[in-house]
Amino acid sequence: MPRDLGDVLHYFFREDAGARPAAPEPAPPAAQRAALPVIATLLSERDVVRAALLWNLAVEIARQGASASVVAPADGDTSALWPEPGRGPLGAELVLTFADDLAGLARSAFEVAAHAGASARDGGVVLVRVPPAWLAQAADAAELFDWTLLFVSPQPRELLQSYAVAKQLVKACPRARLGVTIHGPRSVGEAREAFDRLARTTHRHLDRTLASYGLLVDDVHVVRAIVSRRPVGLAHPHAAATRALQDVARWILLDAQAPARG
Amino acid sequence: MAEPERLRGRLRQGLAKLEPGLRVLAEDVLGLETSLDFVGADASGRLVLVLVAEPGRELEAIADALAQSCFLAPRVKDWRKLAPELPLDPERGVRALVVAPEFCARARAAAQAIGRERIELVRSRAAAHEGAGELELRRAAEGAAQPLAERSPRWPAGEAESAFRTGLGDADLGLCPAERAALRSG
Repeated sequence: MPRDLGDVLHYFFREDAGARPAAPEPAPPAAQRAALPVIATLLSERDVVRAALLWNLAVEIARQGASASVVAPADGDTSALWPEPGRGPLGAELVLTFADDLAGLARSAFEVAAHAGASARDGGVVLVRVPPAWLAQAADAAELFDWTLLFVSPQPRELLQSYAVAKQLVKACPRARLGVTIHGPRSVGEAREAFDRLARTTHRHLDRTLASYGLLVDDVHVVRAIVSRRPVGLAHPHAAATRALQDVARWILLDAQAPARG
Repeated sequence: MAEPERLRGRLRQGLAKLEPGLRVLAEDVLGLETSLDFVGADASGRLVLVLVAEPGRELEAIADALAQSCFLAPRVKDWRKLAPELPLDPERGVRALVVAPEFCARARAAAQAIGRERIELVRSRAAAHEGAGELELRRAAEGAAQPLAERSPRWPAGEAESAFRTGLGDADLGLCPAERAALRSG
């Protein structure tokens, strides 16, 4: 097999244009672009750390060139969880909706997905904060949970609670596909073990396979980011938390770009 | 500058954007009988091999990447001994990136069967910015038309295989031994 880059040069650049590279293929017209995939996440109103991870994940997805929006209910005082609504760093967007039930939240999320999809040249995702109390209405907006991401810490109590959520979701939304990101592990091995334990139980008792979306670090930089409202990746580009966000964003975008999603 | 060098330079730039944690250690190095376009280390210290596929021979490039990975894996420890400063963790093994503008269904299926942890397909596209050529690299989605939930290895049917995905190693978590110990005792 030829292993000289000269053999494949023409494959990457037009030869008739000399050193000038070929123009990129034009993106499809806006009207033909599909809505972005919607990812539901469960976050309580006091879950500051997970909200920070979610927002920072959106910023990282935007940094990787994709569209990223976070949709969340505007219930009560949202200032503890989120920055100011609207476009944030690198184009990541926070949309607060006045939906007061799950069906309303789903409508808002899919509207944002359609709108963002029309202008997103390189794909992206819409991340939705679902208050855990609204899970009881899951059957009313089952499509919202077609792709659900759970942030789970490796503690046994959290694994138990996450399994309970998975069980409730699977029962109410048979099409729900569940992904898990382990946050705050002390080692990669601990994260893997926690994921495997949850995945094994879910497979055995719910006949569902969990997708892994890596691990996130909630270190001092994340806490500082919450306080300063500056994304971790921008304030501390070389921090462990940043590397972890890059990794998780990559897995999410990989699945979001899969043909089956298109 | 010679064209292959120019392409390699653009590939290097593209790789830096594709995977910011990837550090290129060597270019155009001899592997098993043929040369390897890039050898690098990812953020977790895993050796990363990058091969550019010849047009229409992406499937062959995947097989080559697999063979070269097997060739390189036992050598990482030796390299580390010779050059301790290399950011390599021999325990992390080797993974490969195969680069091509397009991958046929057979190539995608083969990569899917091998698993993303060992081989990833990367699509390349020439992009023009201010007259300076750039290669835009994006990870190719595996599989053809299967529903996401049916794709392996992240969705394994069995219980023995871990489907946990991360490109990080313990060193990436940024915890020192004292912090780990304190967390355990806490």
